[in-house]
Amino acid sequence: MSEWSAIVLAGGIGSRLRPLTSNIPKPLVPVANKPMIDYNLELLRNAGITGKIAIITRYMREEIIQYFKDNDHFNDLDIVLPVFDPLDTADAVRKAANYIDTENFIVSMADIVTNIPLQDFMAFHVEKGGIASITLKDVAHPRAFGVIMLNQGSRILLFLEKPIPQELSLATLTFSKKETIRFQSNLVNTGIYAFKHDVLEILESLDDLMDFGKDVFPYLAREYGIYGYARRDYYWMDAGNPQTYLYTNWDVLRRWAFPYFPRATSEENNVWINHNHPSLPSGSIIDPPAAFGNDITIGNNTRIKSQTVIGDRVTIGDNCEIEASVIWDDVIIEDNVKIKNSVICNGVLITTGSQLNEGTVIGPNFTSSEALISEKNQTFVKN
Amino acid sequence: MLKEIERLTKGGRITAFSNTELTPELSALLGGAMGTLLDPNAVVMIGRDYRRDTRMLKRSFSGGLLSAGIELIDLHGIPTSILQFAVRRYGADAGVMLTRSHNLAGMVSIKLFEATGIEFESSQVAKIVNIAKSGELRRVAAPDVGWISVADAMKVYDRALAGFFASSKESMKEANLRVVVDCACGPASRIMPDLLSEFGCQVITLNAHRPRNPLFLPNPSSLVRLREMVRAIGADLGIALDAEARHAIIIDSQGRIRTAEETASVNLHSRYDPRSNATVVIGSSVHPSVYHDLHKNIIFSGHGEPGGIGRAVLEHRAIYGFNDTGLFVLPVFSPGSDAIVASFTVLSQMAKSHLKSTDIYRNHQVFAQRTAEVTFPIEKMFEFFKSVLNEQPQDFRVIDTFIGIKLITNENEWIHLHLATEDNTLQIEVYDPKENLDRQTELIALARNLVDTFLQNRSSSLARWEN
Repeated sequence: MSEWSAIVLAGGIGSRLRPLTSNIPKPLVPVANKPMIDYNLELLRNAGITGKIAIITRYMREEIIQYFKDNDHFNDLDIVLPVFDPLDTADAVRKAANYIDTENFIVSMADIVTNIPLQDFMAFHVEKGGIASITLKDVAHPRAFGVIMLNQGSRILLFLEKPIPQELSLATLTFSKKETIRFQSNLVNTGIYAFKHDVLEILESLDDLMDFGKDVFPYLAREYGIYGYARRDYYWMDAGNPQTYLYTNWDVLRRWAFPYFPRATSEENNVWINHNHPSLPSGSIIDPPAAFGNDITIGNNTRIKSQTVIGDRVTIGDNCEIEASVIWDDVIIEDNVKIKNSVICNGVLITTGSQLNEGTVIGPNFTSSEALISEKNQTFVKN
Repeated sequence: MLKEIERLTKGGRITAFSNTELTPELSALLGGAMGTLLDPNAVVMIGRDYRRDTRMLKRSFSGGLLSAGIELIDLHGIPTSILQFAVRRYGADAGVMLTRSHNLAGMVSIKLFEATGIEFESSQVAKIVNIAKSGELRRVAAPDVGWISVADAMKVYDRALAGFFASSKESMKEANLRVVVDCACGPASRIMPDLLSEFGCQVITLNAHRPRNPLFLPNPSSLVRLREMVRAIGADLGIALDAEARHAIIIDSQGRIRTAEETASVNLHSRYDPRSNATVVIGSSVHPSVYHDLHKNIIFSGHGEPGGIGRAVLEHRAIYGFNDTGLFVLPVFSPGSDAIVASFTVLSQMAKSHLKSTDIYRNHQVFAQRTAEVTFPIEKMFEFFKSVLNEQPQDFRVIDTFIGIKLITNENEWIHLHLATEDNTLQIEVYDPKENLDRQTELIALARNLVDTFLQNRSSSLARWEN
């Protein structure tokens, strides 16, 4: 029996990330030219997970299954793709119980990018001996996630999923005189968990427990004792909406997620290239860091400014300026176009003279017959 | 005053007549004693029902706690079930609830809860009483006197319950169920009608006011009124809560008053996979037909210790606990009995199955071994139940089933006397684990004798009064 196995939850719809998830499931949304789920699987590989890795799919299941058929870069892992329809996160684990034959296992979300020292977390889980351990991170606005209070021994005293103000108020009052750590520093659950195999029996007998955040952890914290892994020194980002998606791309380019990098066959001076370097005609410049896919054509006097990601089969015209943006595959950008802090999905045509300002998101296959001048944070989708 | 203290504990709880036995001074002393027992850094949640005397006693009890340096979170008027929920979910060190008795005028209970949300055992209550008797209280210096903060636990409970039943919300909205709910003039009136509306129910609410003179609800007359209301408007369900929202009596769509055991059975069977290896805690005098088909580990819990069912559920990691007094403990949601959750489970079951409540309950009907009916004036029925509860006939332990009373022997034989389907009729049900017909006849005769004695005493005292 292998020591650890894993369940990767990849069934989410990614509705907050729309229109990026209109045509592809969220786990396959590329971050720096690499699907998000790849970051997750690389994390598990680096942690030495040798048991089964069950990837639980639901929304656009066929696309994810096809992705693993078409790509062989995880052939060294024992990946299984069971087909069932989970009702929620904990229900997914309950239904995947047959794939877990190890004493401990990891559960992770397929839509986060992190370089958490997973082996260290696994050792923490074994040392504490609780039925579950949760990875935690500081964030600025905990109400958007969940709030956790720990004691000095890292035991979780309180677990609140997306609390309303009255809940925060009650929790603050009850813990006002307790020796807790870091409640004020906004610890949240980051979506990577370690469990003892025994938790599967609990999930089996209590089928009211559907969601980890809302049901399972509050219950386990009260009845069994669970632990929080609250190291500060790692990178974690939930690319849950277009803005944080953009940040995640920048962060990977800035090497904040080290040792997880953009998809590339080579890298030089923080420019990641996949197989063939784009030709740079006279007057064109690339400011690192940046990442490039295959078959990219760049016009004259075009500047690719730092923190830009460009996918496969992208054509960029003359006199363009692209700054801190993410451009997916099969995109045509005509001449004299300026793009700043924007996301452009597959199959888009940006006509001559367009100006895409900060926060612009162009959904898949969008085309316009005339120059597009966007307001800040404007979204365009194909009708 | 100290002499009175011993008399305050009944059935493992602090229970006494307010303002005669349990005075504000004594309440403050007991608060100080509880504060002394707790850690100086403890935070305690405190609540009450809507009676005037519980408000008074809560204030003095709070004063005692504060004098021992305890921080208080005042939840004001709140159902006991929600206080228990809040204590556990938000990490308080203890909880205190002041409520009136269901059946004795002027009687008040001070219920104390651990950090788990489960009621203190009688031994813990005895410790507090002993501290109060000894007078050795921890009195802190003025700067360390505790502070009272006010919080709204109803709102967080509302959100938690809506989340817990989120998967039933759409089907309940589509079902558009018509529900009559009697809130027993308790704090649940602030939350139950709104919650039902939020789930798409058409709600008629009874007893949502705060009467100057306390009413003892539910009682046979109030249940008959509720039944008539259900029949009159063709409601899908009637729900009679007690003032603490720990007990619920359900009236089905045909106006049949369902026992707590039947409602517990609906809850249990609708929620869990009978094939699983989970544990269930069941009151020892529950009719075996409720659990005979369960292939579960069953733990029996007797009556007597406060919080007995909840504690057994916690200790055995059970998935559910219930008894025949109408306590329903679903630990995934709350550590104590929660009648709101039990009622919503029935409603969600109706909505998901598209069945009438009568049809759902048909599969959970409890049939006694022997039954009998006696004519009994409805307006005297509650008085009869109270008198038997107070007198506690020899060889029997008497419990309040909220539709009547149950007399239980040490051999676990029982007599259940309760409101019958017909008005002005009392139903007698008996059960003998040995299935001895003679004994069953004997138990029926005993019940008839109790009824006759009560009615004769009443008519003779009435005659004396008239003369």
